Amino acid sequence: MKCNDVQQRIKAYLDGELSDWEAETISSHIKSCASCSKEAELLSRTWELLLALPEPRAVPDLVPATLSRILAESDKSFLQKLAQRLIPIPVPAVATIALVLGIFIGARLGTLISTGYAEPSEAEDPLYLEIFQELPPQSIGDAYIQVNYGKGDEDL
Amino acid sequence: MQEPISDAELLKAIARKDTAAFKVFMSRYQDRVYRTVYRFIGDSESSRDLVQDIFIKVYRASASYAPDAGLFTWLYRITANHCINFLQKQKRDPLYKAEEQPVQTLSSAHNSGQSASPENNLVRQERTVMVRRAIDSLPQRQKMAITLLRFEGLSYHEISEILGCSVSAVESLIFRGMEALKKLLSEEQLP
Repeated sequence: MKCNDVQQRIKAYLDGELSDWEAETISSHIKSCASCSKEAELLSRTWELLLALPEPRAVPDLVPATLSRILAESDKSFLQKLAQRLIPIPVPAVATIALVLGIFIGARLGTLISTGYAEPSEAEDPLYLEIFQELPPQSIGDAYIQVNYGKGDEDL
Repeated sequence: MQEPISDAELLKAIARKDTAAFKVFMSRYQDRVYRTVYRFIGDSESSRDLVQDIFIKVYRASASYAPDAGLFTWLYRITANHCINFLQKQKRDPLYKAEEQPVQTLSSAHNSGQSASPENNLVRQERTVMVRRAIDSLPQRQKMAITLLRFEGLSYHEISEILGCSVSAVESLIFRGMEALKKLLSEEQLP
């Protein structure tokens, strides 16, 4: 086994995470290789250094504070929660939307009021067609019908 | 003598918003969770806040706990993810400067059993600062894998379930983390 491969697995070996066969292979190599043996020693020393990190002197009782937070959250009313969800929507965005809607509604109302709710007639709208009215002769629509369906197709 | 209620039963009760069950559950596990968080974060004030956040997440997620899944794995997955997210968010904060964070040390001989002479205490404190800075420089997942292995004594398989990766990925995380620590701590003139 190559030193590079062994050194990648020394930590797992030291942690007892290898299979018996793998552990035996690594162990044999370490015993016969000065470089890998030194590597194993360095790793062990570094591992021991982590014990320098202090443990907490006393673990605080956090149950009361946690419970207070939970109860405070559940006390919030539905409307408060809804308001909190809506707050992130920026006010200018809402104002812009309201303005655009207002302009649109105003324009529609203006049209309706000025035309007296009159339906557009054939005289006002050259493209005006009643349902099932024949298409104007020599129009694109008429040509399409002629090509595909021929004259005298009553269903159309 | 009445047998203590099982964790699965407690979580079922918590899912029904039973705060008494929640108190029992949190009392059972807060010490262990706090120690892990403290080892990982290195700051007692932040650790207190994080432990509360973690158990509030447990409270909210209790309905989703599947009894056939390991409770410990489930709890520690919440713990690990919350701690990693906290540090990642902290590091993205433009006001956060890692090098200015004070390192908490203990000035007693509690850990080593040596006599508490001022010189020994100073040496120990210096060593703690160096080790803390070295481990804090690791990427979060490497740091968490090493914390769980070293201080919780978990197996690679257990760590893989907590971190949601393969066992070989855990081995890789630990290998790379240890390589970095070995380099950092050998470069330092450790007292």
